[in-house]
Amino acid sequence: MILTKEEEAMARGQYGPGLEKCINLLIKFGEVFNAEKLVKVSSAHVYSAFPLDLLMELTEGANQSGAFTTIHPFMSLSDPLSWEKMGISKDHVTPLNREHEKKVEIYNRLSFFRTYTCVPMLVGNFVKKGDFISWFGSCPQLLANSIIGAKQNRDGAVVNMAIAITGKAPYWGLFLDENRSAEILVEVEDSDSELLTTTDYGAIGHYVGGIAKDRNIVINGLNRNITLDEMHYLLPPLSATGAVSLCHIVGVTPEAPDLITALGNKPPKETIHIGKEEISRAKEEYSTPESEEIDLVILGCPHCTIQELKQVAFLLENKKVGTNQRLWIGTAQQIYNLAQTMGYSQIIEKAGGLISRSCMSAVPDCPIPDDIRIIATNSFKTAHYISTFSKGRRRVVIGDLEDCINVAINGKWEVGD
Amino acid sequence: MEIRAHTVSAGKAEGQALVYKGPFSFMGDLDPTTGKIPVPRHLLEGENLVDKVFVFTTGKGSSGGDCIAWMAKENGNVPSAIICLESEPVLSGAVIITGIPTVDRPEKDIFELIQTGDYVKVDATAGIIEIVGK
Repeated sequence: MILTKEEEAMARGQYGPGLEKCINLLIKFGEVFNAEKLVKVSSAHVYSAFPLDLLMELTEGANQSGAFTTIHPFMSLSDPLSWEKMGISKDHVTPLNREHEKKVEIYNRLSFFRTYTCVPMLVGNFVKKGDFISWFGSCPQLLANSIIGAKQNRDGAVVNMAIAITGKAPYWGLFLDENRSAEILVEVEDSDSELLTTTDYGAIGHYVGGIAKDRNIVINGLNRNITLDEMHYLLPPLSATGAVSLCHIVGVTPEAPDLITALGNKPPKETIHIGKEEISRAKEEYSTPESEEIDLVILGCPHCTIQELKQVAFLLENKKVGTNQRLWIGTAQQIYNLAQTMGYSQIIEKAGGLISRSCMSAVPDCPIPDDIRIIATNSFKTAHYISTFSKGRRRVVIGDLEDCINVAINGKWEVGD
Repeated sequence: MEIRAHTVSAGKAEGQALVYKGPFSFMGDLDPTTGKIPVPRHLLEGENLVDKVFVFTTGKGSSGGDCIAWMAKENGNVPSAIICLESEPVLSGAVIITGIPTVDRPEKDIFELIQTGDYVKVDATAGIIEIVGK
């Protein structure tokens, strides 16, 4: 690998032991994938559940991050501001919070911005098309690669952390234009795309991810006025049932002005047709129980936008969450602050809803209290992970945001809706 | 018998082979506190990976897998070496940070040539797998 003088000095330890470890890890990693050089990244976003001892090793002697860096949500529902109200066990959270306090000292020393959210682009981590970046988390990776066209690979947590600390990344994979074309074409058919709900979009992502695996895809036939909130439900399931890193949408995302460009002027290797039947089949996987009561409603995977919090507040005004129900909503601290200014969070909390900076897919484990048996959510990604990690002990049902709020109030789905 | 392969993480190690013809993730497929595979109904459920030469198809799954690998290594609960068909980025980062000698893209069919229990030497630096004894 060709290294600059500065990179060579870093690898010899002239910038301290932490940077030395990080850059040598990146050099070895780059060699596995035949990277010819390292390049500067403009932005990073790191994992909050990173092991403390390893974080201390990798940051030893470092006093500044290598790039603008933000932090992912609290994992394992451990947000210090909300775990107790959620009924998460103290034994589970105490060691995590003790580690967290020590990590805060490191975050502050390196100026890692403590955003605790999976939507870094909505809280100041602004990136441009073509920027080299490294964001942890399949959801932020997929959103920035696809919607913005910032270039990033599916980095694991350790390589990602080394990139944030050094500001350097191996030049390989999706950093190269020739690797960014779609191989799989998804044709959305027989559905009026103007009438698709966010749940329908989630169902498309859930269905396609299982077939596409880790290949780049392009979706054709969607409404060109698709909103950010709709893309927030379409894209993340692609990396839950599959491992997709890049999804172009014809006429919407920056690298897909038309279908031929998105496919790199080549015929697709595979075409997936999706219509009403496939969408309803995906929804049936998490279908509505007819008579059972819902114990918990989860919104905020990915973390809710201010528009979603506005809608939740509108639906909850002068209402109460049922006495046997709980409502958990994930969002960023910064979006929460805006919701407070607007008066939304007060309405939500007065009605009995709980707002948290934790990951709402409850990964990598599932510490949800045992008495919660049936969960409703508007996110296919949450549905997939909670049913997987709870190993069948919990059932998950899917509905739109409005259905979810109604069930939080009434306990049961409205029949004949 | 020797098989050439591609270096992912340098180093030399040897041990009894444990062969699984499927994908593996450090997140979920390995309990870092015991070194065992905890997954119910997994073909290798309850098998211990410690000190084994672990043979499987590809890496898979969550990008936090490398953190779990590191925690397992701190507890001494990792395989001595890894041989796989294709080491994707998360697995590659995991074996480099933990220093587990690892090779991928072997030039011969390892699932034909290596059975669980065979004694295998891995020189990941040179990219050579040696099957010593059955």
